[in-house]
Amino acid sequence: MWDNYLLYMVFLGQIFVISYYFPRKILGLINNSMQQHPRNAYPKLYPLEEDAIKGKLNVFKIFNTVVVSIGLGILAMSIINSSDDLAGWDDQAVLGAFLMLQYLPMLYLGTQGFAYLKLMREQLENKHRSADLKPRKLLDFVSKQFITTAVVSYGVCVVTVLYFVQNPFDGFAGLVNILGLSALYAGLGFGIYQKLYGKKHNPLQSSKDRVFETTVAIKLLVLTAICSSLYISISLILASIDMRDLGNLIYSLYLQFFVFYIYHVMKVDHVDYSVYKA
Amino acid sequence: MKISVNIEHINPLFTQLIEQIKKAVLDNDIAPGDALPSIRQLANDLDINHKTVAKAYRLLERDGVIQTKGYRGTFIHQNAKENSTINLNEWVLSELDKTLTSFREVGITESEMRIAFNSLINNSHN
Repeated sequence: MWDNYLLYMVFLGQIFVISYYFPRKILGLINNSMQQHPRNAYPKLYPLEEDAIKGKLNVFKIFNTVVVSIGLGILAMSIINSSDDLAGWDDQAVLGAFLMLQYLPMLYLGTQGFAYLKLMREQLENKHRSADLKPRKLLDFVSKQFITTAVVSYGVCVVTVLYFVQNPFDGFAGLVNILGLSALYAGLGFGIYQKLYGKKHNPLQSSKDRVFETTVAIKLLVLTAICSSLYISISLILASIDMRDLGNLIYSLYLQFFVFYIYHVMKVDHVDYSVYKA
Repeated sequence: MKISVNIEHINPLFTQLIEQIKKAVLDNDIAPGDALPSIRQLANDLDINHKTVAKAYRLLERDGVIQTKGYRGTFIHQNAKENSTINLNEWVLSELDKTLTSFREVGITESEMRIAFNSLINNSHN
C-alpha cells in the first residue's frame, strides 16, 4: 500500500511542479519584465498591444488550470477507488500521457513566442545587419566533460540493452530501446546544431544575451540526452528485477527536478533591454 | 570583431563582405590563421542568402585572403595582408580600358566590341 501512496505523492508533485509552479514562475518573469520595461520607454519590445499579450498569457494560465484539474481528478479517482494503478490504468502510460498534456500549454507559449519574435522582425526597419566574425563551436558553450558524459551514458544504455537482449525479461522491448534513444540523440543533436548555426530569432538580441541563451539551451539539450539514457538504463534494470513501479516514480521525479533546473538556469536579470529602446 | 552589411546599399552584399574582411585583415582586426565563421553561420546571423556569403568566400579564396581547409573550416590566409592590397577588379577595369582605347583608335564601334565580347564570354562558357 505504501508504494501506492508514494506514487500518489510523486504524481501530485508532477502536477504541482510542471503545471502550477513552473507556469506561475514563467508568468511572473514575463509580468515583471513588462512592468519594469514599459511600452513608452521600450517600444521595440512590444510588437503587439499589451492587452493582446495579456490575453495570450491568460490563455496559458487557463490551459494550465485545466491540466491541473484533470491531474487532480485522476489522483482523486485513484485514491477513492484505492487503485494499485493511476486511474486504474498502467502507471507508466498515465504518467506519460499526462506529461504530454502538461506539455501542451508550454507548446502554446512556445509557438506564441515564435510568432511574437516574427512580428518583431517584420516591424523592424533595419537596413544594417551585423554579425560576429568568429565561428561558434560546441565546446565554447559546453565543457568537453559534459559531452563525454553524454556519449558515455549512451554507451552504457546500449550495453544495458544488449545485455537484456541476451537475458530478456517479461515485457522487454528489445533493440527498439536503442533505436528510440538514437532517434532522441539525433533530435537533440539537430537542436544543438540549430542553436549554434541557425537563424537568430530575436533580431534585437545583443551578442552577450545570445551567447547566454545558446549556452543555457545547449546545456539543457545535453543534460536531456544524459538523463534520458540513464533513465532508460535504470528503468530496464528495475523492470528486470520486478520493480517497474519504482521506475515510474524515478521518471516523474526526474521530470520535476528537470523543471526546477530549467527555472534555476533561466535568469533574466542580466538581459540587455537597452536594445528595445526607441 | 563584427561585420555589418547595409541591405539597401548600392554595392552588392557580397562586395560589402569582401571589402570588410579585407579591411579587417589590413587593420589587424583579424590575423593570419584566424578562423572565420561557416557560410551557414554568417548567412543566418546576417539574415542573407547562403549563396551570397559563399560567393564572397569563393572570391576571397581566389584572391588569397582566406583558405578553406576541408571540414576544419575557413581561415585567414598566411599572406592575407599582402593579398588584400591587390584589387583584381581594378586591374580588370584598367586592362579592359587599355584594350577598349586601342579598339576605338582603329575605329571599331561599341556594338562590334559588345558582340565580340559577348561571343568570347559565351564561347568560354560553352
